[in-house]
Amino acid sequence: MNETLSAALMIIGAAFALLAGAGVVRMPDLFMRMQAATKASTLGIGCIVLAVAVHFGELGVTTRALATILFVFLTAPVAAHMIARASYFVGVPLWSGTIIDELRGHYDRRTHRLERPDDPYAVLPMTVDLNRLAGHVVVVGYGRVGRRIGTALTANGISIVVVEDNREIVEQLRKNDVVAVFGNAGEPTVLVQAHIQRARMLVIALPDTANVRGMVGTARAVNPDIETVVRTHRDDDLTSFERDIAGKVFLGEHELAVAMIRYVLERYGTFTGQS
Amino acid sequence: MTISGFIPTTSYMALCMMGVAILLAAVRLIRGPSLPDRVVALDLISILVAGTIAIYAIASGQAVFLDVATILALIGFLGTVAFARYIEKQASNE
Repeated sequence: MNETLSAALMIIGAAFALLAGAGVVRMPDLFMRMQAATKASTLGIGCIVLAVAVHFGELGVTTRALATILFVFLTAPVAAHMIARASYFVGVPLWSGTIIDELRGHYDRRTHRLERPDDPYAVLPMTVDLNRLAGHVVVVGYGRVGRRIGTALTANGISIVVVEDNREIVEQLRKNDVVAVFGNAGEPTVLVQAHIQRARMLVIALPDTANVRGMVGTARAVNPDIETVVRTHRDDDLTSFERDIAGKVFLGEHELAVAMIRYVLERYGTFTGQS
Repeated sequence: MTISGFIPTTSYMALCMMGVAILLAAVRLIRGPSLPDRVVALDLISILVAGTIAIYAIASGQAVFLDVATILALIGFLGTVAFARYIEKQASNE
């Protein structure tokens, strides 16, 4: 019985060690290699040392084995954290497919300290009902256009999450029980904070289209099925966005003209007695 | 405990697996490309060697090898911490 257990633990431990070796060779960047190496090797050595304890079955050996396991489980994460931290400061490159680097810009490069505490408006409060954060619409920008969209969606019972870089607007929205995040939607972390990965649609109501590609790119990367709606004032944006972003694009002047034409035609229809 | 049955076979199998794992880590040690990559590989090698020695304790029936494994894990940890501090100091001196 003990023999079987010891042999099984030994093989499991060695398998974890192999996994660590494979991970450290195959993973694309340092931080991923590190998580593979550290986790697998810690588990591996834990299993192996346990196998030693089971095999000998003596009090002295078991005590030393448990002490070793405790020691490795305490030190391995500390060592890994120290290397990761140091590597981040030296600027070891992240994998090219990395979407979010939550630390970027938050570290003081000289003192190596985190610069600012988290702004409560930059994160969603824990009290937000999770049902409102699934299948929702992320509305970026709550100006004249965004506000109309947000109000209409809410009135129709569709849950929305607003992303706005004006802190006072976010403050006001939260008072009115609208889920809102403060920050620049051009930063992936802000969109993720708005739970873009579980959203159904992304509506970008910003007049400035400079960051639109980045936002849509982030949204698609974490949520490939998301539908996007974008607005613009420029004709060349209309064609290039429709080509690149492959979502719905509205040209402000065009929509305005359509509404005015319809009104004028309707008036004519009334005046001439035709319908 | 008498050495009988499948323990010798499994322990040699496990030793082989550890050997392959160490070789893989050595590949990363040689390839780099950055210093932290090599430190991670070295750290992994030290802990894998500690594991190998622990398996050897079973294979040889000598429990004292476990102490060797413990000490090696300790030294490996100290080495890694020293390297990490060195890398970080180097970064802030630039």
